[in-house]
Amino acid sequence: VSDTWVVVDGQDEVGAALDALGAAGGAVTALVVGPQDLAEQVGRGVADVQWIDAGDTPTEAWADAAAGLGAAAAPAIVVGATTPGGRAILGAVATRMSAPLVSNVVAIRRHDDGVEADRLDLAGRITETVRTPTSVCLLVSASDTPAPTRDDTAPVTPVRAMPAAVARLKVEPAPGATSRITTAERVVAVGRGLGSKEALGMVEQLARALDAEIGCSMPVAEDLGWVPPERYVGLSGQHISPKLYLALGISGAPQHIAGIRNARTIVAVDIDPHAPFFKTADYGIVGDLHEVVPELIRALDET
Amino acid sequence: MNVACVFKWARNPEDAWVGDDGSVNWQGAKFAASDDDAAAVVFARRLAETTGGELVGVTIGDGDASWAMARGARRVVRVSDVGPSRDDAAIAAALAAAMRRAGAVDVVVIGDARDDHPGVAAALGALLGMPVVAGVEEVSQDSGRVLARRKVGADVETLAATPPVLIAVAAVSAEKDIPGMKQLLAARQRPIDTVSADEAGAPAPGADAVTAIGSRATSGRTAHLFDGDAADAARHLVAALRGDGTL
Repeated sequence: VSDTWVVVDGQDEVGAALDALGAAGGAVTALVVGPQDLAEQVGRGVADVQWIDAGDTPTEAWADAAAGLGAAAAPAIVVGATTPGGRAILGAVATRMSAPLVSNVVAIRRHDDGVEADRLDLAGRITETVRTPTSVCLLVSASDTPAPTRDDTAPVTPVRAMPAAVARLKVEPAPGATSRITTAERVVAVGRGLGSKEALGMVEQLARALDAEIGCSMPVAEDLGWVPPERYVGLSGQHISPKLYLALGISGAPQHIAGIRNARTIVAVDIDPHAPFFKTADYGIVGDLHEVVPELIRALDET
Repeated sequence: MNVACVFKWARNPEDAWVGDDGSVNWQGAKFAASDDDAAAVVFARRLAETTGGELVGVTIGDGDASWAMARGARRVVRVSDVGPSRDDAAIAAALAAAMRRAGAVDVVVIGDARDDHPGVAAALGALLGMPVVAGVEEVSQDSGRVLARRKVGADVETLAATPPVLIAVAAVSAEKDIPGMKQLLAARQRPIDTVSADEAGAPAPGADAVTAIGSRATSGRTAHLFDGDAADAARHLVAALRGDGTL
């Protein structure tokens, strides 16, 4: 058992955690809450695995038991993913250890007097370096880092635990889960700056020229009803990763940006030169989208 | 069910001005209600009303504490001298002190804040000895159990929790039923139990174990802007997208 622990309850998390740890990790103990194949997969990147077989019980129900296990080992660093389950366990571990809990972490370093971490703050607008002299729990931001693929797997030690009174009643496909926006290579999205539902016509024409799907910001779907709700992109909407995301009349609020973090190329068109989107996008045009969109269609038609 | 709604426990990131060098100026911004707070209080009120329980609001810091009373809370407890923190566990400790002051409840509903302070709800639940269900978009109750629906990947799952439980609500829209002036004025007439951190048994203000030693504007994307009239800008943008292989 090492002094660095990683908490994992899903396939996509261990890569991000180990990536953030980098050289600070050393020999890592993984605490896995999930099926056995997940524990074995995680074992390909760590020194040993403590495994709670979650069965069909949600991770949150095991948080207190997992925290007891982690806190008993009193590690210097505990890392988890920003998933509901990861958060539940890290919150419980931090409480048991009376340790600070730092979120949105992207890099971790050991320091002479403790632990240093880089974290994204203000919806990713700044990267802040923080230092803590004590043992610390760190929630890492999601990344595309693949899971480890070492040939051998670390020993997996099953741990018996009692879950709290939280049960999964049912799982069903999310409305719009089959919407083509989730897999589209190109997305043209509209915000309140569109002005009227009628203006969607020219946007649809642009989308056809780009072979793109149409998306929107939350108010356009939820408040104005101009675009079906399964097409809104953002923190609580669709999280998409197209090759091209073209935002028209969207200011770029953090809640919207959260849905396109993994987009490859982002373009913003907005009349406000101070729109936050221009600090997130790769390309931008400051202008009236009603003038810009027809010109984009024309430019795309030119060979 | 007696229900607590935790609200206005952090500043709105959009209120911060960020310089090109990564310096931050909050320009006097106070703790503010988020969309998640607004969604949380709706479900908290509904839970209390449908079960004949009481809704109490719990907050920390310098925000307008009557916000929750204009949205159905019968009373509010506030620990006033608590500032912003980088340590989600420290924020949770202050909220837990306020919760203890509010008295026993069956369900705590809090805004999820998964983008800014994703650890607060979890740490608060742990401090209160309650299991935590986060990322919840819809809350209801059935036969004494709290039902929580949330999106997980391409699925929606429904969880059932036997109280006590803490539910972290993630908004799916901006607040829809904003209280009118009459409700706001009535809310301001009601008493707020305001106490200091010391009185509430919360950690001393400024006692954070997490210290910032520097910040920088996050590197990466800053838009290359295409100038000129709409036709010029559009033509240059399309050329750039073709040039970098996007199109």
